[in-house]
Amino acid sequence: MARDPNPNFMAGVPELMILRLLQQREMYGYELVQAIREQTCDVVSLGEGIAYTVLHALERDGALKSRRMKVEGRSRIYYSVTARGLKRYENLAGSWSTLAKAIQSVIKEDVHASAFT
Amino acid sequence: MPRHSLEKVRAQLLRAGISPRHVNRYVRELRDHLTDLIARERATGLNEQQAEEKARALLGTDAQLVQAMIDRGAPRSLAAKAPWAVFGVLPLFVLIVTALLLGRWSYTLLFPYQQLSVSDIPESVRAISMASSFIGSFLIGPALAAICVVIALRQRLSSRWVWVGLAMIALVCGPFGVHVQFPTAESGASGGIRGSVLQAVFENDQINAAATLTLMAMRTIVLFAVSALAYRVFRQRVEGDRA
Repeated sequence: MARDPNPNFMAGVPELMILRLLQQREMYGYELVQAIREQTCDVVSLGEGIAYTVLHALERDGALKSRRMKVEGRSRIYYSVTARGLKRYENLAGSWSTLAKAIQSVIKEDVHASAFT
Repeated sequence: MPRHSLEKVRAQLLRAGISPRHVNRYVRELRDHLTDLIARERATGLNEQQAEEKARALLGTDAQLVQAMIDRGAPRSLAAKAPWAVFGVLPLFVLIVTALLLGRWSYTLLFPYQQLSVSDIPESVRAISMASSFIGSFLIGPALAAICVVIALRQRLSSRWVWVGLAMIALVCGPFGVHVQFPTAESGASGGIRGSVLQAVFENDQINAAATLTLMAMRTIVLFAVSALAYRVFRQRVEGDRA
């Protein structure tokens, strides 16, 4: 069965990944989607076309900026992070770390409880 | 060029009222992405058709691509948000401003010659005055109607406001026209330049009311008929392309 690329608990993950990866260098959409696949070993895979709606929404919010560049005869839209995007990334990353720790502690408790029963 | 041209995605987004600028950019990026995916799949040994099918599946279905754009709050166009403003208020405003500007310009141009006899009015002034009359009488109405039709087709709009707009343009532009009546050379009289912003028909230097009303009615009917027909024909063609 095909894996759903956007289950409910993934809300906010595409933004987080995009904002993180674009801090390293500016990228165009296809490059970015492949980078997310590679860096997460395919655990996080954005719906490829849907990534653009996230990019456009982030750009409208001022978290990203874009510019058109001609590379190897093809015109591409490259995205990069703005100062507002960096701040947004820090907030998102902080929220996710807290959430991940909380979930991890619940899972650990559950594992301990099952070990004693 | 991929066989899946994403035109259905474009048409559905435009009909949902998303601004054409954003739709065009989205579709262009999707098309580029699809081209890259196809190239990647071809490199793995798939044939052209298999590569296209796999790439299209990876990109997402038309419904997913459209819904994602709408869910993310993509900006809606003014014509979708306020069709009454674009097709109702704006043409009227443009027409009033044009009438005022042309009227004012014609007055400024002709005022110095008001007291001269017709033979003393330079040909260039008469020619400029005629050009102004032509623009006001024959170009403004069709141009406004054409702009409305283009906006409606570009946005795949089927709002009743498009029809209201075309009817209103015809009703207002039918009677409107910058009209300058120079005195006849035979009379040799001075001070005979007359101007109006209505399509008046002069007979022996007097306005012929019946002929004027007939001309206004005919202009209104022709303008509405031609613009409505053009809108209908092109809309069917656009809908046909979509299907």
